[in-house]
Amino acid sequence: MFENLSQKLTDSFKKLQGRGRLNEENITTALNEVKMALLEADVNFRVVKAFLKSVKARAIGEELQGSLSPGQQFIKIVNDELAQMMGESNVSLVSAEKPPTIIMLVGLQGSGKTSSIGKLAKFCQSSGDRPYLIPADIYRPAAIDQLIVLANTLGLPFYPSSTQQDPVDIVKAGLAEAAIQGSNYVLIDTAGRLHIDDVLMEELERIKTAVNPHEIFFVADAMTGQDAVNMAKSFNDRLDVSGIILTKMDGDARGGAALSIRAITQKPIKFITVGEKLENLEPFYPDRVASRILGMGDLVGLIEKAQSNISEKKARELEDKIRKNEFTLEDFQAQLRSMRQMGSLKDLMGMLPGMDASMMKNTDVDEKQLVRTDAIISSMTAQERQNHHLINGSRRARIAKGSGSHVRDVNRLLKQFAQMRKMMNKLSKTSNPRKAMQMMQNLMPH
Amino acid sequence: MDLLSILPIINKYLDQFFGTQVPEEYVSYLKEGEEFIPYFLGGAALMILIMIFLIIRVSRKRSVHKGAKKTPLSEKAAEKQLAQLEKAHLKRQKEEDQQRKKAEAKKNEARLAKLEEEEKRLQEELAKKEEERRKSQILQKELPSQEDAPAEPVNFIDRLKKGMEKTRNNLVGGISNLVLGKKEIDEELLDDLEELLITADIGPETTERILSAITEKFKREDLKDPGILHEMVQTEIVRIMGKNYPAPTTEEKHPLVYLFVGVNGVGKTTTIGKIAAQFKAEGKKVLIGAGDTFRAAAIEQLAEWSQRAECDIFAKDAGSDPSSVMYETVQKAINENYDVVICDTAGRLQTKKNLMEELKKMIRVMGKLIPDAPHETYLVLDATTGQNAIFQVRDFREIAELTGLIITKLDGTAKGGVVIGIVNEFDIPVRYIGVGETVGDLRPFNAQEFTQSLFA
Repeated sequence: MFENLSQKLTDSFKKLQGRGRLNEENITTALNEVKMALLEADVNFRVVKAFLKSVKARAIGEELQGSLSPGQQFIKIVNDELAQMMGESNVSLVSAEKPPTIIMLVGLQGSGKTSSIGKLAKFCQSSGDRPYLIPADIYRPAAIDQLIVLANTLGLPFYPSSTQQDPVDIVKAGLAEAAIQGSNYVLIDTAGRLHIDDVLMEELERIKTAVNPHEIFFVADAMTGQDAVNMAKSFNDRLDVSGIILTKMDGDARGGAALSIRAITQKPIKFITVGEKLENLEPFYPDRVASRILGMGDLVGLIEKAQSNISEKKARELEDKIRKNEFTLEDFQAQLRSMRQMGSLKDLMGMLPGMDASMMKNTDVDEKQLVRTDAIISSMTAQERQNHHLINGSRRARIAKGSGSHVRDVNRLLKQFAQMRKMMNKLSKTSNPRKAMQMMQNLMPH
Repeated sequence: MDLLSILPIINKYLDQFFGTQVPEEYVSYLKEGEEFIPYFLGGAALMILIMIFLIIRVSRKRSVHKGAKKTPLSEKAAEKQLAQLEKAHLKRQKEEDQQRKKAEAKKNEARLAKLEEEEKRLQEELAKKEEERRKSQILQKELPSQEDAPAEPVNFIDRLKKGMEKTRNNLVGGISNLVLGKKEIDEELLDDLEELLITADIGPETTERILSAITEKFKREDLKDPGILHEMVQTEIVRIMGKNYPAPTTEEKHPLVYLFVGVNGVGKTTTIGKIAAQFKAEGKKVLIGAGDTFRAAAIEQLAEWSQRAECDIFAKDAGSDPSSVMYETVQKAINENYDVVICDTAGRLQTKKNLMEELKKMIRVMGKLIPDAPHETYLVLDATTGQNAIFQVRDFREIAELTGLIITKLDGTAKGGVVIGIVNEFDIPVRYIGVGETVGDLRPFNAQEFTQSLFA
């Protein structure tokens, strides 16, 4: 459904050869492509319009540089403008002059407030702070229990709220208790509510007046659509939030809501959450989300995926092996396995910058092939895996039988493996990862 | 399977990095449509290798940065270490250590200097760019275009805020206000209509489809009256959404097994609570299966709902295998003659492969007791979700045979328009909508109502 924006932009500039200037006429199609990409990414319609206006203003009259194609140059403008709009990166938590620092999380139902509290608590804890948790969601069944379970997992003190209490009383009492405990961070979980629910929004205002939090985070789901602006605006108008936490960024939502919310509130996005584990809270980097919104490959995401599945030590060992031409079938198998853990081949390749997504569109990669290859290698003895030259005719027959395949499959695998080794040797002769890195960067949109 | 189409991509990368391409013989394998084409895997594996190199590079870079930052700290540590070494009279070791450290420091210094130089250069460049930009902005101000009337705020945000107000007014007024006072269908009117559709999360693609169908018709039939526009858009959407599919009843299937799936935080558990209460009110014997064993206190939440609905629940401890919960729930339902079984599952993002496999297993084990169970599998969608809902449907559909959708949180300002494209593309009906907190707020879906609310 989403085709690669860079390819489309390149196409739309095909007519524009050589030197010249970008003008109203020759960027119309390109602007339209950007518009579609942003709308597909759920950026609010008004925000898109305003954004396109500023891109247009900046692009018109821009002289074409020889080193970049007009498409690339245009992408750079779009990317820069987007990153700039996203604001400063990695604004850290404030800490109150007089502890404890009080942090309150607000948002709609299901945006991930309670989970984010757990993650924030872990974040504080791992930088040596002592957080105290106050569950003030008296409405959703078992919401208080949920926070208490998280507090117990982290070994943190919490206020034992009851659903009979008023949230304002809970928060006040909790704060007093936190002072006794000597905690320097207090994290308040509030009930999810619709921004148009006047009664509950007023409740938040009362909590705010009662305890004067140093930070109020608006927790928003990265998958949110056009309505993100309305929610963010209402919450910000009534509570003057200090920052935003974007949750569920580990999905494949392009996260256009980030841009909408940022544009309408002008408040920094401070954290994103990227998983269900307590340590899955990360600082926000605008440039990364910018290229994600534009759908232009996510190299950083790819590297992170690789990093979480392949340890650095293993990678270095592998590098050594390739250099010495000692890459074995066993290594090959290990790699295929970690690749499978990282996701489908199609998804992985889609993350590579410079990929033409339209080519990927109709490609239905049969992941079973990976399983079969794995099976063939598993049917070899340890010795055979270490040294594939050992594998003669009778061994081949045995391996084929063991893996439920044909001898010709085994043959082909071995042949291919030899080819691959050859190629890797070539790589080790270039032996310059910097060059590979350079190439990778050239493939990036800017 | 069409590996040929992916071949150019692999070649591109192989070419970029190794100056080589997939050998001809393998290409001919592909062309002959051979099933087992390992070379393709080689290409993929090579990409992984490239990434590994990148990781090493990146982590090396990081460690340089770390070294630079932590110089005072590591010196302190070194002093401490040296003192200890002295105490142990290991002079030789100490000398060696110092030498090594010196060399390292020198190396780090050199790197640092290089980095600094680079930074300086970048800063200069940035200043230059900034100046250029300022100049161009001044130019723009001097030459206000027709669009930018002087009264319009220059500031991007002000402009946006002004726009937002207009959007809200538009939405409040709805589509009928849009055409009010218009004599003919023009560019502006279509623009406004586009905005209306897009802001309802209908998505650019579906919006374009609807708009072009309409303009086509207008051109062909030479219609001029904008008043009809209103009707046409609604009719089109009702047509898409109004498909009717009968749902199985407890007379046909006994027990009737429901399975609820969806991403995190869409309101699966709450919806189950409400639906259980409704079945109970109809006089059915209802059993709820607490399949979310992962999220903290999810079981307690469901237990609370089962109490409210006065129906039974089967639950195991948190952290137990959800498949076993499913199996035993269905087993209990069969043994104790329940009419309806409603199974909850943990929220899972459709991109999590392991969790999707887990879901597959849950469905498989249910099928062991009742071959066609679950009879109804509902994907719960959050109305505030944008275009990602399409991906959710696409991916969940691959794991489970979705028989219906439930849209929750429609009581807010979000319209949930993305389902129009979904229903159109995947042919899955919307069964229920959630419009509030109480049991009665889970309502059967009505295409007419839904369409009207889109423009209300």
